[in-house]
Amino acid sequence: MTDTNKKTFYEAMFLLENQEVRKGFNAARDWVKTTLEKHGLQVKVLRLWGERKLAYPIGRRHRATFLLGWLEGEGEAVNAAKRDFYLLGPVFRVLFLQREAIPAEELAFGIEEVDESALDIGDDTPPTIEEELQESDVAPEQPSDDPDFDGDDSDMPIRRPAARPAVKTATPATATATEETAASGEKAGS
Amino acid sequence: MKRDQSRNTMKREESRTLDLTHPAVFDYKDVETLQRYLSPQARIHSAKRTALGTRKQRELKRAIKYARFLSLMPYTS
Repeated sequence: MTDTNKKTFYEAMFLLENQEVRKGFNAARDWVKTTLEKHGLQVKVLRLWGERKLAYPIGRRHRATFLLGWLEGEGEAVNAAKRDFYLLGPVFRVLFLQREAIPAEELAFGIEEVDESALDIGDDTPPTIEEELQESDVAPEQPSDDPDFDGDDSDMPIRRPAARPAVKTATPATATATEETAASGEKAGS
Repeated sequence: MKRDQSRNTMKREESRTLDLTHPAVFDYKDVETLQRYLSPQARIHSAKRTALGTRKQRELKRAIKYARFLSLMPYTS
């Protein structure tokens, strides 16, 4: 029989809203810590991992502050904490991963205090079209092989697709009319 | 003739494999490394192309999926 109350180690990554972090990173971090502790999780490490642009926008957010944590506790407590994070507070996305042990280099960080004045939180405005084009991997225009081409194609003649030959579609009414005229012509001729 | 054809196919398959030095562990936080295993359309390369074993390919897949969930990497581009 498996022990459901077994304590395990977890690695957790929290995405914090930049708007809240600008008010105070340490306050946001403390809120995360108290929420975890409220559910019986022991917070071993909680440190700033970085502030970066998101690969895709999450609810109009284009940037976020990443908070990395290492915890010890039960699975049920993790689920309860996760429910709390999504209901209220500065955290808008969280990932918990079960780990074998906490690495020594991570344990050295502990509950990290950050000098908020030195913290550079980027502006959360959506990127402009020019910025998006710069970032995208669209290949630049290749120079033309034509030695006479001066780079400006405004004076070039516009090539239009050749007009399709008109297809005669005779409707039944017109078809009978033509047949009649042909027959009357034959009669007149005879 | 048939033999030549199969040889050409094999040559093409070999040239398709990515020339990468694999890390010991795939970490979802190491975005730069994971990015090398994605196509320009942000699709994960097959095990045939990455030349990884089953277990390592699964490890890579999980790391990429965790990174995608945290918006560190795109689902598509």
